[in-house]
Amino acid sequence: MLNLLSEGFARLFKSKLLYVMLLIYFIFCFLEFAGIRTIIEYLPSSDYLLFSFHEIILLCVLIVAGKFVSSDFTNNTIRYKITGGYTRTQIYMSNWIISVFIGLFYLFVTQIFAMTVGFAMVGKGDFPSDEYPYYLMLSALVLIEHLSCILFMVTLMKKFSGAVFTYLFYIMSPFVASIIIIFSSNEQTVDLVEKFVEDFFPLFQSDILTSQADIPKYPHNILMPIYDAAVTIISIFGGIFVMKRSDIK
Amino acid sequence: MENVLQTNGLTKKYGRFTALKNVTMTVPKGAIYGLVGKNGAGKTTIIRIVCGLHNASDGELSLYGISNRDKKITQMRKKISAVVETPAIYPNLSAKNNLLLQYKLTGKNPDKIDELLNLVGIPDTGKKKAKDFSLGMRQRLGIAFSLVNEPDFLVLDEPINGLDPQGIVEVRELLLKLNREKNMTILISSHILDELSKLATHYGFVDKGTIVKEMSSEELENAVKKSMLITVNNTMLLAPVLMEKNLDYKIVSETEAEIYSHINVTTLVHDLAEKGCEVITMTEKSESLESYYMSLVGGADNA
Repeated sequence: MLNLLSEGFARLFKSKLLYVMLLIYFIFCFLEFAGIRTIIEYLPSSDYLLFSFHEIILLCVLIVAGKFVSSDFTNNTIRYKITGGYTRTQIYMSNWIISVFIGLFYLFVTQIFAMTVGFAMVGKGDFPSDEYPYYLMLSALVLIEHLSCILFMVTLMKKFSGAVFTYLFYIMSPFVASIIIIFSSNEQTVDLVEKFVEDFFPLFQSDILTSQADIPKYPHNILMPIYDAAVTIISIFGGIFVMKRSDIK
Repeated sequence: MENVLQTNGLTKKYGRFTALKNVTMTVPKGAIYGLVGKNGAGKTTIIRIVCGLHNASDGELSLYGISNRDKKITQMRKKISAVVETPAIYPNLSAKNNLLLQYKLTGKNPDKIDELLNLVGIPDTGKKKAKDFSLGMRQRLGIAFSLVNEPDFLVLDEPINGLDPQGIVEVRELLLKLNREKNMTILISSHILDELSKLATHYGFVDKGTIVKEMSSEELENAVKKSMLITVNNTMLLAPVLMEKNLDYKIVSETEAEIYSHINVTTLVHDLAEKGCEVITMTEKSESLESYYMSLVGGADNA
């Protein structure tokens, strides 16, 4: 397993995509900050500075992690891991660890960047807020859930399109929810569906994190971590099941 | 003799299509086992199951006596290495960096990279990315990949595809060297039968997803039809003598005939001389591996 991780990290750090996406990400962050500077007094919380680009992280890690995992399938280099005596569970878990690392790496880099810029903009006073560790934990959980879903889909499809489908799924899900809401006469059902969509999908969780409006209020503070943990665990077990049953080219 | 690989009733189905049907084969230690078969016969599927890339629908295989149903099979797989169909490489990395990753995967010290690149005949590729390599160079890099873990059992699927004539000779010599010097067992599939016949010590003939015949090179040598091509001044004089001796023969032209039965050359030449038939040349001919394969799988329809 350590050899798998060693190979994986070496491959990740040799990949230009990691750095190109990081550069693009910094440009986004810079533009975001430039925009925030003009509206800083209207923000719900000064922590907005720290989490305002959470949705961009989702997209960046989707590309980096999706490409990282899918390239092993498309280049057929995964063969060497299987014929080299590693179990499929070990291969899946090493991919998961590296994918999660990518997510946390982007989150860490963002926080360093945002803290530095944030201190310059708002000063040390009440920045970051007391709730910062909780926001940070939620951000990490959302990213881990997101990356677990990507890894599952890429393993299922053995192509980068698996990652793209994950994102499309997030985007399409509100439409499905809307259809349910339109055809539902029961207000309780409507409420339930709305809450589910908000708390369940990383894209919408991220939206909540970005807006800083509802966290850590009930029910998001309870539902989001539960959903994140549940989806992560289910997707890991599902991914290992798919991996074990797959025929590799 | 210890067997490196043994399969028993291996079956693989893709939906309703049965790609492999009850494949039973044995690869002895130290052998160069040639899997012979036309495209789509099932060679690659066998190799993929042996390497653990595909799961068999039914049947069993054992590597070094450990069944694929036993969890220890993954440990046995550490002894094998494979190049399946197209060589798997990281296209955006140089040959050295490709091998460096493979060394990390095996946990071995990467001190033999240059030696390995030299061995497979691509010593001077520098920073050139693998995606810019020719098919032959990729094939060689793929073989280098497979040698990183110093395997005891090497599995190669069509390894000479894309190689130039010199490359074919070099790969053949490399495989023979690995087999002789390191006692490496090699399972090699190919549809270039004459090339395979220069290497293999054992053969498995595959057709329509089954092993139709398994034999050693000595057995094959004995099984292939041998004949004697005789050139004389007039086959009209030759035929009565052969008929009198009750020999199996075929007149090819006015001056040539093929004799399939075992003959005593001295007696035959003496008898022909008595009838005024002058023998010009006599050459022993062997049926090619190709012809033998064709006779096994049912003729030209299967070519």
